[in-house]
Amino acid sequence: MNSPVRVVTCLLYAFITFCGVNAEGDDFKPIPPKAGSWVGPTTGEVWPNPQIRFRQNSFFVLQVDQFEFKLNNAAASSDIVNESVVRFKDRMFPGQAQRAREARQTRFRFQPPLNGRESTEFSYNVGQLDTIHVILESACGNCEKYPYMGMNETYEIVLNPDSSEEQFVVSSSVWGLLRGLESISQMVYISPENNYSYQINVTRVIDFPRFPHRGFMLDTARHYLSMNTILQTLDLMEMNKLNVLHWHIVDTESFPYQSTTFPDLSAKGAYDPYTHVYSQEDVRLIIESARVRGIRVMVEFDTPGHTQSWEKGQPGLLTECYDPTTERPNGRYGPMDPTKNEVFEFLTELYQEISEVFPEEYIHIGGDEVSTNCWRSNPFVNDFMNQWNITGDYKRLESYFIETLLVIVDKLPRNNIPVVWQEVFDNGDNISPETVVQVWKNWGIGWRNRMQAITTAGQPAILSAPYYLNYIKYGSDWTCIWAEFVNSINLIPRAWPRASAVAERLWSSRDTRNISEASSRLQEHECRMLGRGYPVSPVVGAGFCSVKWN
Amino acid sequence: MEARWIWLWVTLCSFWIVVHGDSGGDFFKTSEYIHPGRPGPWVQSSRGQVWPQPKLSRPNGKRYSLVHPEKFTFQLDANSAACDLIQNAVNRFYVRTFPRRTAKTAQSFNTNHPWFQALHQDPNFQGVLDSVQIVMNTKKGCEKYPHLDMDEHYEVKIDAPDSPKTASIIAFNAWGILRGFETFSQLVYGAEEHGGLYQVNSVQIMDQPRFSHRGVMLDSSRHFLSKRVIYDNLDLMEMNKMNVFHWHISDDPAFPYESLRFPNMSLKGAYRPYTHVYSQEDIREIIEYARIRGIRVMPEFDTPGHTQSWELGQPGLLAKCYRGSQPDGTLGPFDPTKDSLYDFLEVFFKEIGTVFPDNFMHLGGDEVDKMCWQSNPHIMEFVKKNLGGNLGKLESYYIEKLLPIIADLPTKNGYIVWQEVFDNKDKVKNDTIIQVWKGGPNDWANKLQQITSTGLRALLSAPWYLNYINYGSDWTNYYIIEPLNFEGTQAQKKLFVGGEACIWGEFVSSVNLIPRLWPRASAVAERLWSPEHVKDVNDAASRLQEHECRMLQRGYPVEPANGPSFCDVAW
Repeated sequence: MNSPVRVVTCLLYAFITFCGVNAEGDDFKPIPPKAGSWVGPTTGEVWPNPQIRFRQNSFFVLQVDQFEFKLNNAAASSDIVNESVVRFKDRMFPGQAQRAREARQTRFRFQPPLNGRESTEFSYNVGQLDTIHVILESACGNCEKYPYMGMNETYEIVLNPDSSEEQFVVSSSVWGLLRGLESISQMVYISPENNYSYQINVTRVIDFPRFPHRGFMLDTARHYLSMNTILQTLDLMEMNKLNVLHWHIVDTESFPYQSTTFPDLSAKGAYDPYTHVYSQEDVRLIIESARVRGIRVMVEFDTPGHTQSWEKGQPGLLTECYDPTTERPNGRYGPMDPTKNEVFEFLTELYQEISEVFPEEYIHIGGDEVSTNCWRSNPFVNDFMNQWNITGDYKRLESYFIETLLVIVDKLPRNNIPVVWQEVFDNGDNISPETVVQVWKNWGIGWRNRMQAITTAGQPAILSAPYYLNYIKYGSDWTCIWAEFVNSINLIPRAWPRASAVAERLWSSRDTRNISEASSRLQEHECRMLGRGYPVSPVVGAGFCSVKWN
Repeated sequence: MEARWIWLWVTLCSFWIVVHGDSGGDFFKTSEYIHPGRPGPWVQSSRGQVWPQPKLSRPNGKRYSLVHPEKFTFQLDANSAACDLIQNAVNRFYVRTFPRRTAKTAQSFNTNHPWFQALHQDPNFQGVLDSVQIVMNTKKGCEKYPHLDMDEHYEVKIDAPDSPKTASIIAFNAWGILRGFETFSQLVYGAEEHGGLYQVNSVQIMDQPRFSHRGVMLDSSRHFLSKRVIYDNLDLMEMNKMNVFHWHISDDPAFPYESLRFPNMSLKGAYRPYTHVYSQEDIREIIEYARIRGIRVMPEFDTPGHTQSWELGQPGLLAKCYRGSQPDGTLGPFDPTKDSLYDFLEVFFKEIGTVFPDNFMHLGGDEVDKMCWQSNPHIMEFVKKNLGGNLGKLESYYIEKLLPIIADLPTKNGYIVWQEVFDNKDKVKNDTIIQVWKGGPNDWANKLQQITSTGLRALLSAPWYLNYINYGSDWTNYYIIEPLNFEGTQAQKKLFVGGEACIWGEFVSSVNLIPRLWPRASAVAERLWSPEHVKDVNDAASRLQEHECRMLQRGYPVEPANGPSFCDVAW
């Protein structure tokens, strides 16, 4: 558990870098009156930037119908690798070259002029590349079924023209192979100078992530997100080497998770009980799609606040609010009622189900933004607090709830590890040393102090404060995406490629922070994702992708 | 006119974040305070309400009828049956009126069913509405192209006291009929309590727009916009009763217009020839698509600044910038001292006048950078000789030579210019329209006052730059604007022709244009169409929620404007 702690200090530098550049704007700002794109794309560069890459100017040519990945025995025995080579071959050859060439031959008699940028560097063709060996250096292909915190994602790519044996991607785990195959698919580019053929440069890459937890959060409660949107998100996460889908599945507005133990929760608490829910099959499909992409699905059932929608299908969970003048319930409800044993019995059963449904070791139990007004108004709550000698200390009451819940999670048969929002830590709750604390408050300076305090106390930490992507601002601001104003329509274009910036910050080395260099690679990466069929939006100013979006 | 403001803006914002960063995380607290944590959507949707709000709308009690998609027709009278605009509209509006569940509805619609029999016990139930009469009261036939002064006034009567159990759309002109069609299609809604059948409430509507120029400006230079997206946008404009597509077609980064006389301009000036261009055929189709929806297509070829991409295919237009006594290789705005420039412009704009049928052309004239002119000794010599050494007059010199060229075109176009032309006190024709885009509420109100006091007409877009985005329900910022809130006589206010929602293309492409623009532009649409007193934000929020879902149901990827919510159709 050392590495999450390291996240802290390094991210601090990351954020300073972003801020500095935005505030000055100089590195990134082209001189406005200029014909053509603001930022020209790179060709065949990898996003996020690999730790070490030697790239030569000479290149191999690839033929769509002759190219193959050749798996060694261990790799061939892995279902994940077998499935993924098909996917990556599609990504390597998105069909653009064929289309571009055909369009040119059928429609035009003469060469279309290329605007600028003829290559002047010395480069030459070293021949055709027909095979890349996919080598898993491990005793068995299926030793690791599910991705996990701290999994090995290190890989190496060698493309040496002198020996066909030295054209391979190698890793000691399937997760590393997935990352390596993604890098290979990004290194392939289309060369307009060479009759629109697919090319890949002579290259050697040694690569590994800087941080083990690289997450993206989705909120499916404020607006329901379609299966298609979530599956597309998983694809895009893989393309950016992100490895945790933090699924904020329910909230005050709706409860779309279809529970087997408590089916009424979604039957009555979802926006629509049939169309706006995630069935067990949907959840399995998402977990499976994530698994073969090396992505963990960490689910969050936020309690005790943010739970209004639970009450519809499971009456009696929430605290009844009282009117101070009449001293009777006013019909409104507050957070969950910590005085009732039924609440914890219910949560025990629910978390048992969750622990079985989601294979991920970490479970996010929420704990953010608990409003104590309703507790204050309720005489039973106050009686309870008198009994326990914590009269008037509502923070302690909240702590009592969280601590009881932590015990419930602790006793789950699968030894799950809880993750909580920072309030839990801020309240001084008694939490076990392995509990992970996620920091979200205070854009700017405040979160640094928090990180320091948390890690000083020896808790692992996740940082998301500077990465709240749903607060959009104009221009090039480039991982949580809350859904108050985000639904299936605008999730993908709003989140990507802005999340790519976060992805690179979390994967690449600390030295990768030259913004103008990154802009060029990001322009290529944006067009790459668009060419693969994902509606990502433009982030680096006026420009174009040669693939047209209808 | 955007680029440098953007950077200023980005800089200021980042600065704000750095300085006030500590308060940022509390947004959620604030929103939970306003919406005190209850389940379900934040804003409840209205049902069968019209957006933009009609001028006069009188319900006939609580009476209502049901509508059966397969037993419903639009009945055209002789005048409207002879009008191609209305022939085209019938199919389009049939689909819009019944966007979904058509098959299911038809199956469950059984008049022998007991619940349907039970409906007849309800005194408000007026039976099944099987047709709408389209009545065009004119002897002149229908006009071909929409124009600034077109008549969009119409009346919709559904089971009105003077004509019970019938429905009609009445107007003096095809444009009014089109707007009436849209209103009718919005009055019909799916009623869950009647098994998802379509319902329409009895009402009498008299409606006409408050302002005659209600536009959307798209920028197809900074990112190329596909024809598909331009079509979608025209559909959405019609659904919001907007009537001008201001097409900012060329700018510094790219020149995507495929010219007949100067094909090199797009061959060399577009991002990519052949694929990232608008051919003459594309443009004809776009104009036709807009025409039958009662939308004008007003092209803008911005000069003399914002023209870097022109030079690639038409060398010699731009001024050479100097460092010392030598050109430094960079180029500035047009070089107004060259006679050859005006020869080119005459031929070029003559083509534009024939390609675009609209009476108005937008000539740009914004953000002209004088640094390059100042560095050029030839230009400065010209200024000294002809303009008394006053460089400030050079821009006016250019504009005043350009305007007669446009006015003398065989097509006799009127013109619209950005406000700089007015600020520079250039001599313009009396019928010129000045578009105000700069500054905060006081700035633009003062500017409107100044412009109208000289007798010129004014168009407003300063408060409606929709490319600037913020977290949350920012449509209300556009909605609460009152454009006539400036000092001036009644005669001056009459010179205010309308407004435009502008979306500049630095960070907008075909991928995200529609969700970024809509339904935020709907707020502008209602401000420009509905009477001044329609300004209750809460009432608008629930109607906008319905309108958002309506546009989504009709198949357009509009984004959520009101916070947590859902539409009956899962996207």
